[in-house]
Amino acid sequence: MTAKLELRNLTQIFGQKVVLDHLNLAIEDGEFFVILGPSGTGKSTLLRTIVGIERPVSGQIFVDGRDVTGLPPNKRDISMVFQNYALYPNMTVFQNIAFPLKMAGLDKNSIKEKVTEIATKLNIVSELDKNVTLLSGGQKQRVALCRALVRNPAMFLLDEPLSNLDARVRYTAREELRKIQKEFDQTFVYVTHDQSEAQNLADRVGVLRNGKVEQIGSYRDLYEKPSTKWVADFIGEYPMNFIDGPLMGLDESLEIGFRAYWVETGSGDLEATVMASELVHETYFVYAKMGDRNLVLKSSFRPENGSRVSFSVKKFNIYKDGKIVEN
Amino acid sequence: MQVREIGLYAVVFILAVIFVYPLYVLFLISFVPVTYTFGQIYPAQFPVALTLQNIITSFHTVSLVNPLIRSFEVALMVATLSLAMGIPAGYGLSKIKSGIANIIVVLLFFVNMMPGIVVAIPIAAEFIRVGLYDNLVGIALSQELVVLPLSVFIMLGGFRSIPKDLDNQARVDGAGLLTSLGRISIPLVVPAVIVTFLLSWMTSWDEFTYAVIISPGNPTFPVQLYNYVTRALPYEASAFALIVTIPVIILAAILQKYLKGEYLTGGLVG
Repeated sequence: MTAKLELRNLTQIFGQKVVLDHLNLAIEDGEFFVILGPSGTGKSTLLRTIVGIERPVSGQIFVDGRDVTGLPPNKRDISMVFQNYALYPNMTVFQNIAFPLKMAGLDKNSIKEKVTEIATKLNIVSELDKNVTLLSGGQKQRVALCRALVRNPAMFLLDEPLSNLDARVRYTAREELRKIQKEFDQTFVYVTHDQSEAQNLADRVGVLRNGKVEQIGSYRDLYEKPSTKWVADFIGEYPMNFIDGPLMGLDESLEIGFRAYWVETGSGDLEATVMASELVHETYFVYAKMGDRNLVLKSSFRPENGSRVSFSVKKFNIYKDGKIVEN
Repeated sequence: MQVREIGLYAVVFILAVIFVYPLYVLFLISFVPVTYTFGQIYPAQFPVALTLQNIITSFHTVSLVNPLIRSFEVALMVATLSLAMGIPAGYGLSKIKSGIANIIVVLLFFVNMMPGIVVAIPIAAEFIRVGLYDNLVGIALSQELVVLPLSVFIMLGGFRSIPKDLDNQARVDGAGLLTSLGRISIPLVVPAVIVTFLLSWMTSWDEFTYAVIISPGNPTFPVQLYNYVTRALPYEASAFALIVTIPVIILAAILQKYLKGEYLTGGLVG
């Protein structure tokens, strides 16, 4: 089966800056794919290039096996929700949602029918006659989603659609988004820098670094088996801890990587100096130093600052030259 | 604080006198009997007596109706043309790098930096050849030289004030370039369109240099007015000048509502 979206050697350069660097990516049909990366790594540029607002310098984009690289956005059959929703301020909610259908040349009755249907599903049918400038953030986001969903395109791109909402609304909107994606059984490509969104939404996550895909996998994979030290550092609420191989009887060229959660403190062969501790809900996290390495360790008690704490590692990965060694 | 306020009012007062006094003189000449104005070495500064006789005589002795109609037609042509060219030019410039766009806009204003006469004479020579001399279309085209840089500048400012993603969204939603322009971008720059139209209309309405050189045989209103003044018909001319100032004042009042900073300065903001 061909992939829904395939990017081959996609390169984008703005001025002197290489934003996308021979990027390769394949996204399957019906997948909720999250592109995760720190800001400034070309996430938005990637979406804009896929949808056709930006022309790539080189490389190809395939949708359902069809090369769309040279096509304008309106010929690509991809819809997109922009970060600021980009609702047309001169139109009502109804007109906003109807716009893509109007462009597709549908007649008035079927437009009305489809708009009402999608607006009912996303629970904004009561706002249809309002001007979009009067809506709340959450409502705007739903209108933008409706407008993207209503024409049933090959796939959807979403550029940090939740970043403009306040925390509480964001949480429910996230659940809603997941439900919608499953219900419509559509391919979503979702860009974010928020790990909790990646964790809760994605079937698969692609980590973007300097215009390249560093690792692809489920969030769990990225968390437990980060393929490089950079991913290990980026993923997770605390960066992964690294210590020298010989400390656990391994070769000198190897490093041992483990999460804060993968240790037991109070006993064990390893020792570190406590710098500080913090209480998160019911668990302590101990910031410790081992030589010149900084560690974060989960602990059931609060050790005194400056004291030595002993610990043992229950689970770990082995890294060589910054890359994981399969074991 | 108070000193500053007094200073401000003083400046406003002086400016008002500079702009209003000529109008007041027109009013005096039009409505005060000739014996008190042109009949005196030092004409009265106050309406010592009022009469409608000057206006009535003016309508009997001179014909300014045809020049008025001509002026109206030309102004309409100029305003329409300046939109027809200013909108696409502004839209296009808003899509390219702002540094380059700004340079192009400055270059557009270059023609206006030269005295109108210098530009008008070669244009007149060319228009005689192609049959646009003594012709309303000819006047309109030449006046476009004055108007177009300004209208491009205003439209560029208008288009720059729209978030770029709206246009992108329209393209993603299936609109072609023209549809996106017509359905999304232009409706959002309606104030800029109105400003451009009115400003172009007003500029043409009282434009003199190009009008007198391109079309002396079919004069527009300002040109005919000038002819009457130089032919020693000053109070007929003043009466009509006063009448014709009225639409300009009304237009300016409408325009004021739309003269928000963003449409005029937007063009400069990178």
